[in-house]
Amino acid sequence: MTPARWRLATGITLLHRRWDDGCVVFFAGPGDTQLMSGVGLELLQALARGPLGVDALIDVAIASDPGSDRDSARFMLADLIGQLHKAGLVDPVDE
Amino acid sequence: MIVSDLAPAEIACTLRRGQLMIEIGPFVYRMRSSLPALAERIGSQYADFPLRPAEEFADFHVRVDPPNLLRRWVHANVAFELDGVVPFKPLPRAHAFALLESGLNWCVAQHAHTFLVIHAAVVEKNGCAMLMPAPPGSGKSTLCAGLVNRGWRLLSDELALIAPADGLVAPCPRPVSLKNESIDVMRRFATDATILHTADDTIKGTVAHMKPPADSVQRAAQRVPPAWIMFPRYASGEPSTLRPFGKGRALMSLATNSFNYNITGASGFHTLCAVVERCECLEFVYGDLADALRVFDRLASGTLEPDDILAAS
Amino acid sequence: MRQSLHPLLPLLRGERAVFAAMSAAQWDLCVRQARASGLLARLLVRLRADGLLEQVPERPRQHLDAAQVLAHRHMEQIRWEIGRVHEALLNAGIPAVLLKGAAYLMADLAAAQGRVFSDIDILVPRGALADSERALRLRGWMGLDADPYDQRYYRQWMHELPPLRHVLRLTVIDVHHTILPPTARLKPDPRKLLDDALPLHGYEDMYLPCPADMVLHSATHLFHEGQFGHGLRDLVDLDDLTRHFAAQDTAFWPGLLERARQMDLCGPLFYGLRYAQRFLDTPVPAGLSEALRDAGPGRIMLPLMDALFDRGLAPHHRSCDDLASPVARWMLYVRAHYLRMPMRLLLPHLARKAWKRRFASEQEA
Repeated sequence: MTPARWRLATGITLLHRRWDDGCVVFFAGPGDTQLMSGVGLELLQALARGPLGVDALIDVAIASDPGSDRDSARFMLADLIGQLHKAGLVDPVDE
Repeated sequence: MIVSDLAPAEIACTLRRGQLMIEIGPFVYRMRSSLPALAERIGSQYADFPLRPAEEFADFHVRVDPPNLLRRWVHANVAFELDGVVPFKPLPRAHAFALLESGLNWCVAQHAHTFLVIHAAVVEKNGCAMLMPAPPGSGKSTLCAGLVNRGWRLLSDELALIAPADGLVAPCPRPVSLKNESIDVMRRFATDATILHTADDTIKGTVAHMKPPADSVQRAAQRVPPAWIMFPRYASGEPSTLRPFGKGRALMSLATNSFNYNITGASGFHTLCAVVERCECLEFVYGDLADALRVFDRLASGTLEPDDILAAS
Repeated sequence: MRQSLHPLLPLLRGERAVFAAMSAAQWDLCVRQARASGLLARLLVRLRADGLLEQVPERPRQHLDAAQVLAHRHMEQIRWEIGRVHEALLNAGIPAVLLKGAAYLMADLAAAQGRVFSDIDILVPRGALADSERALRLRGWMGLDADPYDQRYYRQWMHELPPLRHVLRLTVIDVHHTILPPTARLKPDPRKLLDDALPLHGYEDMYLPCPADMVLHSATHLFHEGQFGHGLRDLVDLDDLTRHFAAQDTAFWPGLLERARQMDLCGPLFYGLRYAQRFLDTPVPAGLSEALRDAGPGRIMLPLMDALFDRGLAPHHRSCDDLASPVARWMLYVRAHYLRMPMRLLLPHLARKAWKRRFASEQEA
């Protein structure tokens, strides 16, 4: 998955609420609302603290869901980042 | 003073002069039209609604009339107008009442941003409101009409108004619109409900309107907290089945079905979170209206057994 | 027309006696006119500043509050969009000056409060126009009109980019390289605007116009426009801007005149200040009005222009229209096009617009 580093788009504040069937996240600024898994929320919150590389993000994913392996975490991450990037909510970081 | 205190001729005259001021829930509409058939329909469906004096403030100045002189005689179309703005294409004159109803909904959906406005039916029993967000064709209007004929109070069949400050639902009771097969279902099911036809072949098929119960109109100022968010689905022949519905999904559904969630920002998010938090979220499949209503009554009186609500599959 | 904007104008002018005496019927008219003018939320802001908001009756207050919800969302959204535009252009190394509403917002001006923002307007150096379009396209902003005539209108004749709309968010950016279209009769030099622009704190290579240029651009935009649907709102902008800058800097008014002369924009400034004063009692120093006199129409034309603008600047609302209003609007529309483009382009353009309007409305019916 290229590029290697990502960050939350500047100007976003995250609000969220957790329920049994997932976490609803509100992106204050652009005004988007999304339903995602707990892992997805952890990843977003990690990105909100600062830019992270793909490997570090996979570490976060695994820490949040110990049962998963690196490959499935990578797959899930690519999917999530792809969606968020398309929506303009995360940006790649140029080296 | 209510609409039925006026003689039909007076209603028509006041409507022609654009001075018919009807109070509907939190809003006062000032109405104008030169169409006699529309005056009669308004007089019938809105008989129990309060009237306001013409000198008072009106929230919306609405008009249903032929769009110009030519259209009065050729093609006989009518258009809905809010204070000079025409949001919809004109419709045939025979659909004037349906057009008016759409227009009244549009006014609220476009302007009432002190509420969170959700496309949902809302009814109330025992001081608690049930929200039924659902896309068209889910049977929510039939359910709504059925519930209202069995002692539930009508808050709205189209627009749930939630006040952000306290999370209460503000009633906005109006004629319940019914389409196609629902019309026959309601005719067989209801006893003294007034149902009036509008013409066939609107875009949605046959459309009719059911007069709201007088009690619902009289209690339009009583706001209540929501206790259930119900996602109904009609499936012919299926037994009534009630299942828990995920709160996260329920919130997303409310957001998608809201007319103004996307402009309320973080405040709207917090309002929806609070609503979802306090409500029991359920999905309901049913094949028989009478049986469905029995389930709803038991839900409202708290007499449903835990295993009546199946685990989410 | 101006005289029928009652009690809206007195309320905007802060006339407390009028406020205190308002009937329900007057509130009814006021809310409707304010809505038609795009000023409901601005009215709330002004009433709050005057300490009168809590005394507004319940029903009209709901409409003011509802408008404020929308305005607040607009502010958030535009701030977000500016951030995205900044990213796009910074990556391409293109300096940009924010114009109009976007500038008022980032400068924290009163003119941004209660505003319904439409497009984002930016000015870039002429040479950077193509690069800007590319950089924005990469981030999802595409040309609005597929109509080849309109594309030509913008690119070839007006020498502008057509407005760019974001594919997902539907927000629109107007990228300018001049203050007026290059085909216009007045030729204010955009390089002066760029040279004297002030850096925007926190946004590298993004700028705001200097105060005088903000005022001049607002006046110029209004009095070169053909459609005055928001004329009154733009006058409120001028009123807000000039009061703010004059309070901050005693040298503002002389500086404004000097800049108007430098930029060849005395004409629009004359009109802007005249009508801001006429509608909203904007305090303009008598010396300034005198000095600008020659830039305005002659003694004979002035009453005619007053009559046109008294109608043209009022909102499109039944309560504000008299028999002369449609004609007045049409004349102002033609005048604006006359100012923007030479005759040889103007007549065919107007003819095509008229044809399109008629043809399109027949399709509808």
